[in-house]
Amino acid sequence: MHGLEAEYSERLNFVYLDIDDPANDAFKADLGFRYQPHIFLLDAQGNPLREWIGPVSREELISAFEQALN
Amino acid sequence: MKKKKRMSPFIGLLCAWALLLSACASGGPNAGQSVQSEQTGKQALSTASGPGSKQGEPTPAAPAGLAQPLQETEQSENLSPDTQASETASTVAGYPGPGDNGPVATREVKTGLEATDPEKVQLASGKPQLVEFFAFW
Repeated sequence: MHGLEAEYSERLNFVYLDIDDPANDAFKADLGFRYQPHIFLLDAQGNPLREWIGPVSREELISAFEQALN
Repeated sequence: MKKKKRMSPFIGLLCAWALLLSACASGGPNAGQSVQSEQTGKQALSTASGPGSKQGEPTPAAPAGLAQPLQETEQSENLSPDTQASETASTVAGYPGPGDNGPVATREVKTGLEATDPEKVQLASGKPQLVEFFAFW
């Protein structure tokens, strides 16, 4: 993920939320978090475009990033 | 004949005394150095032997410890003051002092998991956003 962040950080925000932090409970409820690792790709308005539970490949993430940015 | 027999032990003693004196005299100005190196050798021996070992009882590493201080003193004597100074300077340059900060990172590279501050997170951020829920365990 960090390699992708270095590549896309200017066009995409990267947020890492600790599920054990109570301050993140609102985000968990809003997005429908189930279990970690749970990854969401949101649009500029905060609506989920894609989501992945469990391991996800770099290629799949890049493909989703490009779709969201175009 | 009897006189000769009585004198022979004295002659032997005299010869031994003369040999001892000549040996001391031939040491000359270096005689002090050998004594000094022997003393430093003894110091090395005493530091090489652990607290449990008896004093004066050589450890297996003791002969090397005896030889080392003498070599060091010889080397330091052979070096000119200039080379000694440059050697000291290179040693100082080799190790950064407490005030040195070392190389400055020009780009932040994340190597491990680092949680984002929840107070700074906005889901509607104005541009696409990847949100990952994770745990440190």
